Amino acid sequence: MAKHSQAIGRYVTIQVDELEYEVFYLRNGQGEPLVCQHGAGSHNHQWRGLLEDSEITRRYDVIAYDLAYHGKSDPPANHKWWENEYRLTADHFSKFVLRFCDALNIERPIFMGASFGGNLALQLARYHGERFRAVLPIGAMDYSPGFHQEIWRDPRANPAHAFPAALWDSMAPQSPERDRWLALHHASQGAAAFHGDLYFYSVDHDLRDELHNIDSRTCPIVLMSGTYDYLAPPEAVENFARKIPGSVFIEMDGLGHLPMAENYPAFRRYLLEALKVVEHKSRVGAV
Amino acid sequence: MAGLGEALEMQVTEWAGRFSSASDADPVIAASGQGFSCSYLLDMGSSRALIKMVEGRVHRITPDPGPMDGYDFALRACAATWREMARPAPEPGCQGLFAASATRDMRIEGDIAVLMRNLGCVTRQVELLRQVGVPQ
Repeated sequence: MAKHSQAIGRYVTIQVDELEYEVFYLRNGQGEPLVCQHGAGSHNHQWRGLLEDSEITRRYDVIAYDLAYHGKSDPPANHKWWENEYRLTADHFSKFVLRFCDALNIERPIFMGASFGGNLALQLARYHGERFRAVLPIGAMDYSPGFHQEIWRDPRANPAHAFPAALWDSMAPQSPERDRWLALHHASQGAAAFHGDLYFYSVDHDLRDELHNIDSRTCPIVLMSGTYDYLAPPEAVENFARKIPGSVFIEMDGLGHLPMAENYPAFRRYLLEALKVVEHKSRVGAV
Repeated sequence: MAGLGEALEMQVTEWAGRFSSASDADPVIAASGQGFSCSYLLDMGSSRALIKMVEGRVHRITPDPGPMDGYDFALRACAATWREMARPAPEPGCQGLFAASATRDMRIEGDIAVLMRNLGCVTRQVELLRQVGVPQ
């Protein structure tokens, strides 16, 4: 008997700012939609543990898509993308998620993103909070300057090697070796997009003066950061989270910047805690 | 004598032999380091070593190199930072070069492009310090 995953992969076509994308997504589960964004230069296999977690999928409809230019989601079908530099902006990235949810008829999902996906979760909460039941930013910062560097596309540095190798120590040394190597393997497939992803991560994303305007009553926010995450250290995340009224912060012991990919068994207990907070806040908010 | 969970410490010449053996026997460097050719300085505060790699093998390690000994890039931090990085389970912020650059006194100097194109193998060699230890 062949062993099949319960996750099903499909393509859906969406329109974002006149650009047409055929978006690949993996989906498994039922109930509350939980839409997941992978990290920069990677793809939705970072969520493989979550997609197979029956305790989650019996209550949540887990949907993990590949952002355009990543994984199996190609660059736009109706545009000469090869004649233009790829530079992801906060506005386009946000619209991508909104149009994707529209296409799947998903209303007010929980949005979870890691690394630059975590930064996007903050953008969505700030500017589109009414569209989400909650956001769960992982390894996110209000501002992450300094990483949009030419070295990531310098041919002397071999970007397909340099980018994944640089991810290594963003993960916790205790995380399983196999999963950390897989994180590098996935990143090596998206090295061409990494520099453009970092335009969003390090340049266009800056919410330092907007944190107090995030309405966590409309869109509850549970931020998570691993103790080994030097890109979004727990102390720094907790500090900016204090400026978001009503936000909740969870420190994840012994995890790094990509917890769902590097050590899902350790990450899931924090995720279950975060989902409990969302349920509680939704009940309280409904009263 | 190092306690359980502490980094091993030894004279730089003894360290050079242990590091060389560990690197040349490492399966990850053997599998991916065919093009790993460069030279770099490990500046560990009280001791320094110049490592020259040729096609994935340690060609030479020069303990306490002189001013005319050139290299492509240097990795500099105080002895305490390197000692923490060499512990079997380093504390947060000391799990690698970039983490230690962000949270400790690690400085990466020289030709960064050479480091970046060899980053996987250099990262691996830095992790080998958890087995090998550091010079006193």
